[in-house]
Amino acid sequence: MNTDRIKHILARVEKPGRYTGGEYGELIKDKSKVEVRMAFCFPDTYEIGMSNLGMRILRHCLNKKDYLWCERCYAPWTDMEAEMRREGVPLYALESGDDIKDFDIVAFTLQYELSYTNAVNMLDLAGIPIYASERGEEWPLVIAGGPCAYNPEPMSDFIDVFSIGEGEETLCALADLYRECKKNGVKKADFLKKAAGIRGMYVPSLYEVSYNEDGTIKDFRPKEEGVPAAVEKAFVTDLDGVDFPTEHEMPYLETVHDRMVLEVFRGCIRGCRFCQAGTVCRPVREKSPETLDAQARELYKNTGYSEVSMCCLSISDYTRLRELIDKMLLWTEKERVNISLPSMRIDSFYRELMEKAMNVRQSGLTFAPEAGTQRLRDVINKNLTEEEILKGCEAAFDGGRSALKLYFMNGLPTETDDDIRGIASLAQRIVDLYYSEKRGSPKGVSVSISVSCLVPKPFTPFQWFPQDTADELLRKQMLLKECITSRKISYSYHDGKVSFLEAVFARGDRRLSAAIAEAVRQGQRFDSWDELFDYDRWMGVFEKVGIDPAFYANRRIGFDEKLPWDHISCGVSKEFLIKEAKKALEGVTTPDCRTRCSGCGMQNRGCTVCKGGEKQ
Amino acid sequence: MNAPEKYTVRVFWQKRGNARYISHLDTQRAITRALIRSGLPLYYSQGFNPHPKLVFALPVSIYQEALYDVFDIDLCERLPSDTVYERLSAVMPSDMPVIKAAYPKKKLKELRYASYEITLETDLSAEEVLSRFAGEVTVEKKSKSKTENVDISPMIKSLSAKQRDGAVLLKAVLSAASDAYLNPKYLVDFLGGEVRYSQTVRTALLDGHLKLLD
Repeated sequence: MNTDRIKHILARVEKPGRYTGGEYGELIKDKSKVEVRMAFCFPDTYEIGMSNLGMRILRHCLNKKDYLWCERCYAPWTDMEAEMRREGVPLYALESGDDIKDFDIVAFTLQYELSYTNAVNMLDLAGIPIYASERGEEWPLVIAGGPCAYNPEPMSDFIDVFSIGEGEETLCALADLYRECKKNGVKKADFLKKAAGIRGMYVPSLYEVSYNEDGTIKDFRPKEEGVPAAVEKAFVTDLDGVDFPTEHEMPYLETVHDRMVLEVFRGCIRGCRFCQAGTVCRPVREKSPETLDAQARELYKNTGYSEVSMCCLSISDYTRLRELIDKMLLWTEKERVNISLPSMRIDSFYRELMEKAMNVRQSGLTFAPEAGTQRLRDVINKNLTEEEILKGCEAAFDGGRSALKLYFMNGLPTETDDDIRGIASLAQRIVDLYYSEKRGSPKGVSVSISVSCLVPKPFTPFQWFPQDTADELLRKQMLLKECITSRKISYSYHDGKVSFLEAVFARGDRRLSAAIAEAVRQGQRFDSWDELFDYDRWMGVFEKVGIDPAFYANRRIGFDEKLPWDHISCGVSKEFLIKEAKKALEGVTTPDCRTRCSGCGMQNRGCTVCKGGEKQ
Repeated sequence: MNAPEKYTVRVFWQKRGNARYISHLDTQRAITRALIRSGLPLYYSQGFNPHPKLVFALPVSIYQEALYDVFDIDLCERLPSDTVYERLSAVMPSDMPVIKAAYPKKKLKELRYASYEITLETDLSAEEVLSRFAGEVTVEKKSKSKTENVDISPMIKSLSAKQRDGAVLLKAVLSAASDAYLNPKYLVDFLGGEVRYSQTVRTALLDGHLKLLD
């Protein structure tokens, strides 16, 4: 892009390279030859957004169309935003430098609830009316997708169309429809009705909600005939066949994941009851080692990165991991490329890898027991026993490692103080295990425990359970602090107030759009950044718009209540989730999908995991 | 122990346009990745964490452009320099183009001076700008440990100025020896608030005889 008009600004802001584009691999198209201009916006900083694989995949699919040019846009940091507003520079796209208000389609990916204010603020900074109802024919179509779109309601006042599920195929269908309608002068309202007919596309303005006196939802229905009552998520069936970008922009700035990323498989066989990705990404679909190896080689050739990271929910559950690693080691050792296997289980295969391959790295040794006692691990269906954890630690210690990290969660359903104490004693047993034998490290063992707070998420068995209040979470955090006596154990925990806000929006309904708009008006942004999160301002916002945030976060929701996201279907049935919620309260576990099919609903939608995963 | 043979090749490149917003550290990383993409037989350092050898004559500061700049790389094979040029220029970012590659004639440490063109947005005339630099030029220099006032005039080899397109174009040859490098930003700093905006382009790297470092 031509940066002349902002050169004075760029001289005054931090990290100007965030705002100029021009990286190696940047995709430039001839403006005069494209019919549809699209800006793909990531509502956080460049360094975070550039690392997002989903956005990279979708832009790749969209840009394969000659008639369309999909550019990038990230949220400017506060210093840049202030300069842009002062100098009257609206939000622009990084490739062309053109104002996104002049684009045809503005797309947002919603990866976490605390980026909602950024998304709305980006519209405002672009000079685009934030409310969908205020955008006439002359304004861009504003769409959104990503994991948070599974409960699109809090953002529904701002977005014209939500894309639910995996967008590789359906976003392209939406773009085709847009092009067709633009050519034929179809009005926005008619376009939206047609869009609602594409699988996974949800048009919030075509539905109306009514509420009971207690604030719960009474009814949610389409305003007119022909609009589907429920929106079924889209997903691709053949991962080997779907397009995967093996060349992309090479950021100058150091991004969060500054390496090659290889998507190994989608979905998860595990069924942890707090995990939304574990439900909404079903069914499990694997790529073949042949495809992955070929993609990794291409990526290496095109990027020059010297590390490749495997991306999926649980790498150890990839059925052909050994085959894949063996294939890749044939060239990665020679080329000095490191293979990193995040969150790999410490089992015999892991030990074997450590012995034979110097350039397979584990990005730090981590375990995620999530809960401190077996009872509570059964409640959350985390099928990991203390014995397995200790055996893994022992193997790691024997292999010369002396530092490890444990992840836990506070505020899980049925959690008692004994469960909190259990976290400390588990960590202590690991320390004791280290010293039960003479080991080499002069500094001794280091166990760090990191504790987050449960955010009950839509489409999980825990969606009906209340979140602990911030006060109660703090009490538990302090209790755990008291229980830790060894100086070999370090302890960190998340701010319960941040998790509270996440829970409000995770389980929120349409009325929350007013709170988001007000918060943006008051200058709230980058809520996921500690230095800019402002709890007191948020509480003032809720009071001003007359919303009780505890209604969303801390309330026990009845199984028979209408949920704000009931009109969205992720393929897993509500009956299954209720069954799992009840089993959780009884402390009964559910086996993983490979061991036995639990009938979650995906078995009718092409899932073949329990039959060995063969393609249909 | 026998270290493998290595051949040093000098790459002449530019850092221009939006690349001026990229810091030296980020530039180094970008070029390292370009070297890997080029598929050239790179010579890796022999340490615990092997990496391709990449030595810059003089890092370009953020916000500055460079039209004649060099870095040296080490290869395991003696390739024709044109081959190095072709392979590398195909994979460099467009704002960091490679101009040519050659086997070095001079050592990098023969670098003594660098020449600059600094465009100043200012109400001062070219004569006024020059007159400011007539005597001592004392600026505040910050290093990691201390801040001190230094007279930089001995490090200014030559200076000229003229009006161009409503701005003042300051041409300067400044010391760039490894123990006496003068960043051109100090000239702009010295003029203080009278400069609204400046753009600095490094036009050449020179040896002690003011000949190009090639």
